[in-house]
This record gives sequence, structure tokens and C-alpha cells, in this order.
Amino acid sequence: MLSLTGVSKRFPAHQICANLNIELNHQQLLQVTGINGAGKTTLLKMIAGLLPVDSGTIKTEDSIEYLAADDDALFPQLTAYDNLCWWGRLRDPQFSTAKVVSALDYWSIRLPRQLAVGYFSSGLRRRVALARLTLSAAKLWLIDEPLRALDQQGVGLFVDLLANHLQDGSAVAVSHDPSLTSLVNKCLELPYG
Amino acid sequence: MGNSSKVNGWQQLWLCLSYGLKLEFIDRERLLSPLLFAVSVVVLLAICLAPDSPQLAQRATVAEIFIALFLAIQIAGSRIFANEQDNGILELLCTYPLRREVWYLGKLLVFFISATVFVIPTVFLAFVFNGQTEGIIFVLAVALLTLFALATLAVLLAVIVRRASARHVLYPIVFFPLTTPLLIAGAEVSLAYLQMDGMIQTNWLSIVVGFAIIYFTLGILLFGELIDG
Repeated sequence: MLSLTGVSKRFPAHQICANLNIELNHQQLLQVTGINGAGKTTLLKMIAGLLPVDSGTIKTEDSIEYLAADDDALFPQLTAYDNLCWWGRLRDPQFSTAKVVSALDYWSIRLPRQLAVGYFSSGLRRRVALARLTLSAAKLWLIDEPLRALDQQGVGLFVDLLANHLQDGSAVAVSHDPSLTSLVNKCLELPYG
Repeated sequence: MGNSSKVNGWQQLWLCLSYGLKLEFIDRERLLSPLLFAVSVVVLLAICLAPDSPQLAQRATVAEIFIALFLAIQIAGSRIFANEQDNGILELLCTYPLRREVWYLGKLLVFFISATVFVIPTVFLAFVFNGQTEGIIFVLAVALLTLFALATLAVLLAVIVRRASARHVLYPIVFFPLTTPLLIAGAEVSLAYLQMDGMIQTNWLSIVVGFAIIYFTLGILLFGELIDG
């Protein structure tokens, strides 16, 4: 469960949000929209604890999995398999490599195992980053432009994955893609300024 | 936030250590450039100084080791968070239930272990090029102790300057004055041992040990504050 109470954030140039109140329960997806520069990513980072709020409180009892818009958070020198093992082992004491193999299969990442992620296309790197979500047991996903660089098949796979996650968890997604519309329970449009 | 972890600190430390070392050794340039730099400094200084008495040779040996150590550590230290910073890994790690003191310890050990790759050959070459044989084990031990002390500070400074746009300039500017007393102490201990028949100057040695303890403690206590701040 996620709760934002009276959250305000202001940058010198403009106000991101003022006295924002949101309640998000399990099995709910909050879609955040707004024009470029409105502060969607900033809001997501505040929820993830990466940026401080000016006032108000953000509470969640759930563990968080954060997916950034621009960075896939992958070591370019390592393979997809090694990257996923790193993130999986950090969070899950019962981690098994079979989960990684299964996640790579799900995302159809079938390049040679020894090929480093640095050689992947941006779409493939995004698939590996999303495979991290597949492994994660975190209940709250904070996902920023999750469909960036994905092809149609990838979009379909992500929508299925998110639908599956929402049976038991929740998510906040920054996205304007209509593919997610069927899953959205709440919508927040951030005005600029 | 509800980031409760069941992965214990030892498992996390092992992960940080194994992956950190793997990355260091995959990215050979990160190891090779300080190594080649340190070796070049030692060889060039040994050739240029060409000491003609045993006392001068001992002085030259110690000077070459600590100059090379200082400069090579600066090169390596400014890249401590390069991998994580460039790819959004640092940001994601901040949301993970990774214990901050474990993170610091992992970074410190990876830096220390990978730096021994250039410290050991540097010490060996400095002795060989100056025609010295006695005291090499002791001087190597002092160099490694100094390296550990430098590493405690190097990791702490790397996290402090990581957000500065001019961090490549800022890092050496801050590193230099803070580490000068440590380098002088390390050099004095080594020189006294070589020139006074194995005498250990405890005053200078305690400065090296004290430096390591102070910055290690500060690192453990402050790393979390600095990385999340």
C-alpha cells in the first residue's frame, strides 16, 4: 500500500506538486501523465526515496522495485544473466539461477549467454531491465516509461507481466502508452508549473 | 519505506566483493592504467636519480614507491563509482535493501584488492631498480597498510564528490592535502627501517594506523548518509 499525504515539491523554476494526496492499495495501478517537464519522474523518485519532499509524507509498507526511464541499471561489461543474478541475489535470499533462465526465456532474450549487455540494442537492454521486474518479489513497482524502446511483442509481454503483478501487488507507472489503459485504476495528471 | 531484507550482511558483502572484483578484472583498462603509470614512475625515477650510495638508493626506493602509490591511487580513486554512476545503478541500489556499511566495506575491499595489483609490482621494481634486497617485506607491508588507509579515504571522497560536475578536478584537489601526512608517515617508517637496521618508528607507524582507523570508522558511519543524501 502507498500513501501520499500533503506532498509538495517545488523546483526553482516551477512547482511539481502542491498538497498532493494519493492512496494506492494492492491490486491497483496508478498512471501518472503530464506534459514533458511536468515532474512525473520527480514524483516517482520522491516515492522511491531518491528525492526529498518539501513537505508532506510518503508511506509504504511494501518493498519497492524502481525502473528508471533512461537508465536500465545494467552493468554494460556483464552479461544479461550476470546482471540479473546480481540484482536477484541482492534482494532474495532464496534466489535461484533457474529464475533468471526463466526470466530470460520469458523476455525472449536468446543472444549468446557470454555476450555483454553493452553490445545489446536499447530494446534488448530494456527487456533485461524488465526481466529484473520479473524476478522481483517487491510488492510496489515504480516504473518510469517501461515501454520505452520495446517492440509490439515486448509491449504485450510487459502488459501480461504487469497484469500478473497486479493480482497481488501495486504499481505506479509513468506512461502515456494506451497499452496500459486496460489495467489502470487511478490516473494522475500533473500540470506544468 | 518497507525495504526489509532477509539477505544477511555477509551475503551482501560477498556479492559486493565478488561482483566488484569481477567488474574490475573484466575492465582491464581500470587496472592496467594505474599499474603502467606506477611502473613508469618507478622506472623513470630510478634511471634519472641513479643513486650512487646505499643511503641514497634506500631514499630513492622509498620515494619512488610512495610517489607512485599516491599518483596511481588518485587515478584509480576518481573512478570508484564510475560504473554505477553512468548506468543508473547507483540510483537503483539506493532503493535496494543493501546495508550501507556493507556497501562501503565492499567498495573498500574491492578497491584495496585491485590496487594491490599495482602496489606489489611497484614495490618489487623499486627495490630491483635501486639494487636493494633487504627490508622488502617490511616496506611492502607498510605500503599495503598505507594503501588501505588511502583506500578508506578514497572511497569516502569518491562518494562525496560523485555529484559534482567537476568531480575529476575536485577529487585530486581534496585528496592531495588530506593524504600528505599519511604518505610522509608511510615513507618515514619505511626509510627508518631501511636505514636503521630494522628499527620500527612507532610514532610514524601510529599515524598510518590512526589514519586508517579514523577514516574507516568515518566511512562506516557516514557512507549511508552521504550516498542517500
